[in-house]
Amino acid sequence: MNYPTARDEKAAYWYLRLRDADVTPEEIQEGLRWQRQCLENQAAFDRVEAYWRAWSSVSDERAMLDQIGFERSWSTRKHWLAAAAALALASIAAWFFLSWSSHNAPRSIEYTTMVGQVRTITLQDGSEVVIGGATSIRTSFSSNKREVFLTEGEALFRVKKNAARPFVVASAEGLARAVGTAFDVHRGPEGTTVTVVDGLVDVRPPDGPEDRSAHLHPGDQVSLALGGKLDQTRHVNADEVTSWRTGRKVFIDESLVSVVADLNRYSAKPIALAATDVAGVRITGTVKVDGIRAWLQALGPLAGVNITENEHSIVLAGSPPKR
Amino acid sequence: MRSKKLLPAPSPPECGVVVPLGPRRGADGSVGAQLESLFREHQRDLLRFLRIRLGSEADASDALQIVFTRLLQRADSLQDDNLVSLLYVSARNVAIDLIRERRHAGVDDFARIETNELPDEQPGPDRHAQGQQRLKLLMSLVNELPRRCRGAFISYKIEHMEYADIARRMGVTESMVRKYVIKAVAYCAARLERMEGWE
Repeated sequence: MNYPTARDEKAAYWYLRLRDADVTPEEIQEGLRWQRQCLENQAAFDRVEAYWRAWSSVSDERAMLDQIGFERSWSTRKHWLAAAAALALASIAAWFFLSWSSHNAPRSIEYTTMVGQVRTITLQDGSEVVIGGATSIRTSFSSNKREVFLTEGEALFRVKKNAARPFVVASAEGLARAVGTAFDVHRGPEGTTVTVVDGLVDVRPPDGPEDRSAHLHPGDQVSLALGGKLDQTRHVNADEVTSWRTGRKVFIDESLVSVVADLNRYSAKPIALAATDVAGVRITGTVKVDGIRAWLQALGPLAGVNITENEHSIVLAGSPPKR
Repeated sequence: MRSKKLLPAPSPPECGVVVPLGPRRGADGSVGAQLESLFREHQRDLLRFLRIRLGSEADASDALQIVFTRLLQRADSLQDDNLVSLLYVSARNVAIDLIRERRHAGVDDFARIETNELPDEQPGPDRHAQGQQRLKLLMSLVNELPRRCRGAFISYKIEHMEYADIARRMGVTESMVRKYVIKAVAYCAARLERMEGWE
């Protein structure tokens, strides 16, 4: 069953309009006429009124906002986006929690990989996902939508075409929407990056206007910074970006903090950044995931990073080279 | 104590019939008599409108009383060609004044709803728990909404923001914000009704 109906929306329109301070006398009469025009209109209108009144017993607004993890004091766009992202997360969680019992229940399934593990799975709709190391995705499929939430890590999606059920991959920073295509979504400490292998994908922040989405073609890549700011679209070698599937990580001008976060999803031994002054060092290079230690040893002198290793971890410290 | 003696008797309901109502001369032709006859014709709609604005039947009749008194006091200075519009504009303005008074007193929109209008609400310690449960339910419905829809609705309903301010914040037009809020209300209202046995 699909609701609301057009009549429900009309009822809501009139109810809200009648409550506006600038409603005209002509509109008041027209609205009232609409709501008593027939029994169906009356019922729809009463329903809206009952809903509005149901709020009257819960006037604790602070509690309402807390319940959805809503940041009240925000005023800038960044804060708005952060709040929207929080909402997106909260809502997806709520959606999973709430709707499993309803008739149109999206089935929520979580897939998580271990460090160093790469798995290929086929989703309920036939789409295929290659999940990178230490990555977690949750799917939520309903009759009119396919939603996947990427918490952390990277995944390559090969989407089964179905125009009636758009395929949306969401992270805290944004949404990538595709109909039938292949694309890579990566989430790390500095945000989310979407790379298109095949087909077309629209990318936007959780609350960005649809008309300001980035439209990506094959080979295009776009990043969403933490908070959801959409970067310039750039052209990349999609094969390189997705080479993690075959045990290689390619970094092009990435910060050390991102590189470390990525390698930690594949490295048997955790890598630790001991000093924040090297976090921003830019790294370009290719790493074989089974040769991370050797690569780091080689990287050390080039990037001005001091590498030490103890029982538990590989520690990166030192100062970046002076320019 | 609510006095209704100034109000003329209500007209019988005209279900499903749209009656074109132009200004009309009263028995003695005076504006005051015209007003009285218009009040009789429009009383039901005016009450309905005021109830939508103010939430309760009692507040609506109080407000209607004020509208009637105010207009009658100005009867001599009124033009008789636009009395129907004036009736609704006055009702709207009286409602706005009353809502403003309430807000100043720190009372919510519907704080004066009689408890017997909400049959599942009982006095006593259960009341708080029920309120909490209801809040949970209402928020869960809000959380089912698409993101932008939900954002607009929360700003409007819970934060009491104006459409224009929400539009600026969301970076969309005011009419888009209105559409989001309409969709949100329509969805939640239909959904709420289908959830039987909710607290």
